[in-house]
Amino acid sequence: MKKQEFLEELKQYLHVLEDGEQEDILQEYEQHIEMKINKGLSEEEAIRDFGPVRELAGEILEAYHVKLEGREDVEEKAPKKGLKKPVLTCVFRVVHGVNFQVKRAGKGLFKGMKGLWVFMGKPFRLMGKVLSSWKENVQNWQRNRKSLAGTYEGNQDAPEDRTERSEGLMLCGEDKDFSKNGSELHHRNKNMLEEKTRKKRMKKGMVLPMLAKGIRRMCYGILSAVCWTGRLLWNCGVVCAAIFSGFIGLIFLYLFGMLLVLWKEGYPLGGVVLGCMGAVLCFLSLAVFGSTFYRKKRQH
Amino acid sequence: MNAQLKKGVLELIVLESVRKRDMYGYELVEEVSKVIDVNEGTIYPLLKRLTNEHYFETYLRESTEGPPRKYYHLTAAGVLYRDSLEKEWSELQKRVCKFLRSAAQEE
Repeated sequence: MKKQEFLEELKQYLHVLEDGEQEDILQEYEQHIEMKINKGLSEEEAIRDFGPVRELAGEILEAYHVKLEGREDVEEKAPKKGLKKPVLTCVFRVVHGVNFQVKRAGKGLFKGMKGLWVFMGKPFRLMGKVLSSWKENVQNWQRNRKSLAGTYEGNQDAPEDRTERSEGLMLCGEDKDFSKNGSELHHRNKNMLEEKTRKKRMKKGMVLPMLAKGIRRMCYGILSAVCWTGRLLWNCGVVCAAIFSGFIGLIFLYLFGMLLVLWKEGYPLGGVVLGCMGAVLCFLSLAVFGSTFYRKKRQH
Repeated sequence: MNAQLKKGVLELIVLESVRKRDMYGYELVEEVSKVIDVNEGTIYPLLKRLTNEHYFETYLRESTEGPPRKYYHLTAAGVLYRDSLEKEWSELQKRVCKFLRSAAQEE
């Protein structure tokens, strides 16, 4: 460890003390190290004889009845003359710190990317919503139509069926005299038909609200997409306008300064200077005022 | 040598060294090192503590080489404290010696 490093580290531990005291202590140690170097020792050797810095700082603070903060690394007490362990812990700390920082930066970057991704994906999601609602709508419509057609076909089928069956039954009745049974079957068929028509009526009643719901959802999707694009365009416009007017304001400020100096030197520029000042105030306040038009999504 | 044993006696040695004549930090470390092998770093905190307790006074004096040095001077209170410490030390030493001798005889 070099002298400067040692003093820096020691200073960090002594930060609770007054600046004067800190300076006093550090000066004394610095002098001590210098004298040892003058005697022919190397910088490293001179500092190694102090032992672990933390322990040393603890002893110094004890003289002020101050407890050393944090007792987490008691194991550092063990090596007195060995340099390996403090160096290792130092290296470990540095690695740990770098690791932590990198991780944090990575996390931040990831979050930012995610946010950007979510932001960029918004129109697509809206489109997806629109499409899915459209699809659902179409499917609903198709299903309804199919069921309608089914009932219709069923209706058409039923009479034929009935006639066929009744014919068959009639034949049976002729052959085996079962006409009574045939009439019963006929009755059941009639019942089934009535049921089917009832179902058909129910389906017809449900088609309209379902369609309406689908359309409503689709409309909502389109509307929010339009809103989003509108807001984006509006915000872009507002920001651009604010930046532009701020820029113009700065230019006028520059002009104002220059003209002021010229006016002071005797040029007849009083009116222009005043005009410039007005322009500066105008444009800068416009920039500030414009930025209040920035629109955010309303929270429900 | 046992660090705990050293710690107790160190104070007395430092006080005695400064009583003989005023010294600056590095000089004092060398003086103490003649008597006991001590971690140089621990002398400064001790000096600081004794100064804070008004047993030492400090003053700066120019040196021929390098920056001015901070000299330590024993105050009246420091002298009293040194005497009481010496008394305690000799008492302790006597008792411990006595105990060790009697223990050796019993064996």
